[in-house]
Amino acid sequence: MLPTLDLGPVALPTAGLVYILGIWLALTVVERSAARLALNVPVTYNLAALGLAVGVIAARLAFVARYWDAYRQNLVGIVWPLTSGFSLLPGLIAGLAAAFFYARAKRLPAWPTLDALVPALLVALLAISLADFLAGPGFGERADLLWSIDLFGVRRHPVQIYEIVVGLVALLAWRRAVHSQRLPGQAALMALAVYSAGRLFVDAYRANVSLTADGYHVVQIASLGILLASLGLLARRATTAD
Amino acid sequence: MPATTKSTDRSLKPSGNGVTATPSRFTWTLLLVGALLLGSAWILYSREDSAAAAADGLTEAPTAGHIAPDFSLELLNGDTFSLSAMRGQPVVLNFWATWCPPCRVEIPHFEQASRKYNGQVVIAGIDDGEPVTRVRPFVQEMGMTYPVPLDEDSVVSRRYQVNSLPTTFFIGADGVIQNVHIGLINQAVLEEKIESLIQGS
Repeated sequence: MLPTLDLGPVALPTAGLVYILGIWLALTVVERSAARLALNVPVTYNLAALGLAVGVIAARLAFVARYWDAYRQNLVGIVWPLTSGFSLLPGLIAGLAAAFFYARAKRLPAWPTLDALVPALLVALLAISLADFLAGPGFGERADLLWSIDLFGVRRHPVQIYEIVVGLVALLAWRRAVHSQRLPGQAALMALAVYSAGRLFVDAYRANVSLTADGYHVVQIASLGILLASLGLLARRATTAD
Repeated sequence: MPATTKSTDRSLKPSGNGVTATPSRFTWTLLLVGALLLGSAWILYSREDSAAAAADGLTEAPTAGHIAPDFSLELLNGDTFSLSAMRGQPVVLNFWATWCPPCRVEIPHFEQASRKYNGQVVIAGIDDGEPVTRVRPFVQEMGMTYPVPLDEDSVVSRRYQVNSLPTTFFIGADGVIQNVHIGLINQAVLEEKIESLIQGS
């Protein structure tokens, strides 16, 4: 674990650095995959950047609105520090809505655009797992395996590394499928299916997880939902192709 | 012609050798049923027994999901602050120092929170590595009324692996660290995390 990167007297939070690097890399991937799929590169890039920017701003504003009493006394706090203080759900909804309306306005084709966006999403998820490994609260179940990591004297599953491997396999699946797909969207759906199947599997080895009242892993349930939806759409797309 | 139409046309063609590599609808449906059955079984198998999960986390370490390392430090008034004595109520430990500018910025937030959540949470500002002669006038100048344990030799700071100031630990009533915040924290984030601690307790 490496929560901070010490450069002389300055200690930089590694999680923040990884997030910034992840965003830059994800937007680069959008550009490259859009070019590869012969899409309009600037418009596809703008779609991703707009969705991201609106999402971040909306997440911050929703948080500010919720704790307005605290911010009213310190207006500078609205813009600094930005290392925390975001409401995830409103940000996600606003970001997706902005991307949706922008895509409609620019008449972007849905399935090819999804093909271009999914690898960027996977890169962003890889960055989240890496940040969690370096500085996050996540850790794996106890395990005395060859590849277990020592965390404060206890050997555990390197669960974030498993997630990174899953993400890389999903990216490989996308890369392979994009050459052979008969209809646009199949590569994106296949990559989503591989990633969600992987997360469904490896989340069992995560120790501090969000659980339902009955003790089920929330991530596993969400992953199964995405996996089934992806496979259902792949079946439907296969029918269309036939 | 727009570039997107070109892409659709190309993707309709079979791959290189004339044989498409994409599975049929039947194969995908079979995979879907298999995923549903295996996935559900795996979720059932992975279900956490809450007692077992709690037992797994019962190791002492300065990170989220672990028991906060215990310590006893002297306060400015000569009393002793012991973390284990606080068990049963949420605790916020803020590591700071007089020379640290962001610490100076956030101290009023902790002061305000200590008044707002008085009786619901214990807030303590651990001074890291400074003599009492330097800390006392600073505390008076800033008007700090919450407990200030003195970690003059940085023993507790090292045990909590505090590499940069300020760093704040949010500890649940059960003694388990819920969150670690490195760097400056603003009033709203502080309140959000404290309310989360209180709800969890």
